[in-house]
This record gives sequence, C-alpha cells and structure tokens, in this order.
Amino acid sequence: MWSLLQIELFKIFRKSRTYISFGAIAAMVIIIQAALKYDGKSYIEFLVGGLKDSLEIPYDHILNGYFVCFIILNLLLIHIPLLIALVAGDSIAGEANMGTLRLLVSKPVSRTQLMLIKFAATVIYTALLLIWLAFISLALSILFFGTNDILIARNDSLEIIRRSDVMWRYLAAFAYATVALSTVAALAFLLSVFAENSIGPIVSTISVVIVFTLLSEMQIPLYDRTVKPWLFTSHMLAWKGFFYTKVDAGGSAIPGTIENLQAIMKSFWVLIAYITGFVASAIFIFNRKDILS
Amino acid sequence: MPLVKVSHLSKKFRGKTVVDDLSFTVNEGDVYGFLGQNGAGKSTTIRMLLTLVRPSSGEMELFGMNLHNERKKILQQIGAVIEKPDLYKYLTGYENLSLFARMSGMRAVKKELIGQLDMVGIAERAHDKVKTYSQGMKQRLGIAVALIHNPQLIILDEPTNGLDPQGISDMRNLILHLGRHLKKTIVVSSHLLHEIEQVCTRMLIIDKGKKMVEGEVSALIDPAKSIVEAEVTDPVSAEAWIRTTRWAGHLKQMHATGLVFQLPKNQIPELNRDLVQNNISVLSLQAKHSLEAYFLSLTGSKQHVVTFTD
Repeated sequence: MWSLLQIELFKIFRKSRTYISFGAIAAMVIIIQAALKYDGKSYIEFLVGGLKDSLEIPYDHILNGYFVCFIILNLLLIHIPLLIALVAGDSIAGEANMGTLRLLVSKPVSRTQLMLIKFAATVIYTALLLIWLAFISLALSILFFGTNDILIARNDSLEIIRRSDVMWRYLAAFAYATVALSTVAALAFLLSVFAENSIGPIVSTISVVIVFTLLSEMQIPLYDRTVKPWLFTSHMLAWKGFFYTKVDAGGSAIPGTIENLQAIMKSFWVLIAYITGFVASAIFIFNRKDILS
Repeated sequence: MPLVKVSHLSKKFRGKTVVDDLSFTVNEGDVYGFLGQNGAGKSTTIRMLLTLVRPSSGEMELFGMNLHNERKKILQQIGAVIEKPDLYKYLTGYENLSLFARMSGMRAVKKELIGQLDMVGIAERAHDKVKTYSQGMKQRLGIAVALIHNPQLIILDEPTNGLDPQGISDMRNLILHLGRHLKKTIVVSSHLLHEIEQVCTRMLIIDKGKKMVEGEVSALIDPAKSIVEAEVTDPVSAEAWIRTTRWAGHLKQMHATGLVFQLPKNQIPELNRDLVQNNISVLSLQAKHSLEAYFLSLTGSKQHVVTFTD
C-alpha cells in the first residue's frame, strides 16, 4: 500500500499542473498582505463600521499577523476548492485521457485498492496545499505584521481573542479546512470516474461548488430549514466556529473555549458522510466500469 | 498444458454483441496469433483477459486459475502492451519503468531497470522525458514495461501499430526472440496476416466476434489457395476473354484496375503467358500470402483483397 501511495504522490508532484495551485495561493496571499500592509487601516474601518465614531480604534494593535491570517482565510477558503478540483478531477479521467488507466488496471492491484490509494494521494495533496496556505498566510503574516490579540467581527459585535489563545484555533481551523476541502476532492474524484478527459470533472466540480455555495449563502427562510442543512458547502465554513468563543458575564471572551463545538462536530460528521458517500460511489462505479480508453 | 483457457466468452456493449461465444486455448510455449479485421473483437477479448472489460458471460482460466477469483495472482504473471503503449509523458522512460515495476510487485533495482531499457535499445534515452520519444521508442518502452517483472505470459495487442518498417521488423524479431529463446508464451493480436504468419505457431481467426478457426499456423497454410491479383490495362476485355478459357474457374473477382484469381503459385507464370499472348497488357501480377487467401476465404469479405497487401 505504502509503495503504491508513494507512486501516486510521485506522479502528482511531477506534474507541473500541481504547482499552479501552490503558486496561485502564494500570489493571492502576498497580494492581500501587501494591500493590508499599505492600507490596512481602511479595511479595519470598513470592518468596524460606525463603531469608529464612538470608539478609539487601536489600528496598530488590530492589524497584526493573526488578524491578517484570519482575513486571508475568509477570502481564500471559498476559492481553494477550484484549485483542489484541478488535481482531484484529473486523478482518474487524466489517466484515461493519457491512456495509462488500462496499464494501471491490468497490474496486480485491485481496483478498490487503486481507488483508495488515488483518493489518499489527493487528500495528502489537499493537506499539503493547506499547510502551504497556513505557512504563507500565518507565518508570513506574523513575520510582516507581528502578533497581538485578534479582533473577530461577528454579525453585530466584535470579539477579542487573546494572542495566547489563538494558535490552537488556527491549527484546528486548518485541520477542519482539510476535511472540508477533501469533500470537494471526493466530489471531483467521483466525477472523474465518469470522464475520459479531466476538463469535464474539473468544470463540473467547480459548477457544483458554486451552485451549492450560492444556495448556502442565500437568505431564504424556506431553504434554511430544507436545503441548506444538507449541502456540504453549508458545512465547509464551520472552521470559523473555532474563532467564536464563549463570553463571560462582562462580554469578554473566555480563553480556551468554543462557543458551539457541537455545531462544528455536526458539520464535521456531515462532511465525513459526504466524503464516504462520494468515495464509496466512485469505487462502486469504477469496479463495474469497462476500461475502453 | 493450456496456459489460457477461454470458454464460451461473450461481451455485449449496449445490446450489441462484440464477442460471441468465443472459446480457445493457448498452450504453454505458444506464440499465439489472434487474427481478425479491425472491429472483429480481438481487443475486447484481450481486454477481458486483462480484466479491463467485464465479460457478459463465459469463463477464463489462466495458469489453471479462474481469472475472476484469482485476478491478482494471474496478473502478476502477465505482461501486456495494449494497443499503443501510452505512458506518463511527463516522466522519463526510467521513471515510467520503475513505477510500473513497483506496481507489478517488483523491487525496482536501478541496474535491472537500465538493463531492461538496454535490451529494448533505449538505455541512452533512459533519463529523457517520454514526450520527447518517437512512436517506436514509446513502443520499446512499453515492451520493457511489459517484460520487467519477467512474466510467463506476454499479451501484445496490435504491437506494430504506428511503427515504421524498421520498428515492425524489430518488433517481429523481439517476439521471435521471446518465444524461441526465452520460452515465453505470447498472445499477439493483429489484423496483418503476414505478421501472424511470420511469428506465430498457433492462431485463431475471429470475425464479428465469432471464432472462425483455430489451429497450427503451418496446418492452415494451403499453397493451393494463393490469391493472385493481376493489374491489366483493360479489365473488361480481359474478363471476357478469361471466361472462355480454363482460367475461368480460377477467376474470383474483377475490379476497376484488374482481376483477382485463386490458384496455386506455380501456375502464375502460365497465366501471365496466356494473358500476354492474347494481347492483354499486364501491368503487374501479385501473389498474396497463402494464409491471407485462407483468411479471405473464411471471412469472405471483398474489401480484404484491397486491404491486405504485401
């Protein structure tokens, strides 16, 4: 198994297409960091809204590495599925397109094993992409902006999380994001089984994510109860929950707490169910598929 | 002992039967030819042997084991090139070979891999990316991939497709070498009759998914059944004259540029002399392989007279 996984990872990381995602993330993060470095004050003013008239806002304290990383994650985690689909959608369809699928399937490896290995390699790629995102969005932001307490804007309030209470939340958020993005990878992986060209599954995955995200974000009460709880995109943003703390009687954040861990766990299990469903379906279909490419 | 035993194998794609109740056996040491027109069902049968396509019905036994039940054990002993050998173009030849060796359960030792690439004549380009290889080099690399784990059974599906004459000759020599010297059992499919005739010991002719005949190549070759194609300036007049002579019984077909006869090879000079003496201008006389004649008589397709030429 390990040898097969090594082979899959080797194939993924020898393709130049793989590095497009790493390059794109680096470019976007650096652009955001540069913008905040030179005009972060305007962004914070926009964020705090009318509060700036009644409060003295300590812009230099707020604009720190942790805060910048939080902004970057908010902006980017919606778009990263597109980059994940590039590799996951190519996993089976790309092999069919190259003509190597028939060679792989005629080797003494079961189709189920082959599929599990390929999906595992895709998840590792997803995790590495997020580690890369974590490195440049968190480490570089800390380097350029330093550390301080983090200001979290919610619907109608602002919360401050102490700097000593931040790092574990990021670790948990990145771990959760890995699961969330693995769901997208699993969808692209499933669609990849049907195609003999990677464009189809990549575009289909992106389309599904866009449509589901729009439905998840729509403020329509009927959908809130009926549709949204079942869309995986509704659960992908639950990573933000790690930055919502319980508050004491005075309204201050209680260190080490999460406001609604149960909701995060529920979203986590919904995503796991989606991943299991997508991958199991992909294996079921692939096991019955005639390889004619 | 039969190494491959196929019984009543059928495959339907969306209701259309492409392999129809096919049974055959390949014995240990055979160089077994699988012959048929394009679309006859050769590739589908080979893909079923390699578990790429699921049969609609029938049984396949290889090495005495049921393919469905012992897939992994069986595939460990098979090396295959399926149509054109598509490999990872963004990897080098060496990397491709190493990767597939490991997938076949082999420990990829550098010396062994380079030795294999050397055997197929591409060791000097081992570390170049496959996208820079010619079609012939890719075919050689495909063969190296098929042989790297020292399989007992080698399956080659249309191995000369896309090769230049030198490549075709090299492939033929390689098959002969594998069969005669390394004692491998080989199944080779082709629509080129002379390829099969030159390298195979036994063969199966398949047409529209059905077995037409199976047996020793030497026994299937009948020198009395040569097809002779005469290119003449005026086929209509020539035919009219032929109908009045003893050659009438040998005339099989007339087309725009000539006449097609079926007769023993040793009568060709006599036919030529008679045509010329009766003022029929002969531009060329071409005898087809005897196996080709046999194939034509079995499949009865006129198009082959044009399709299969030397």
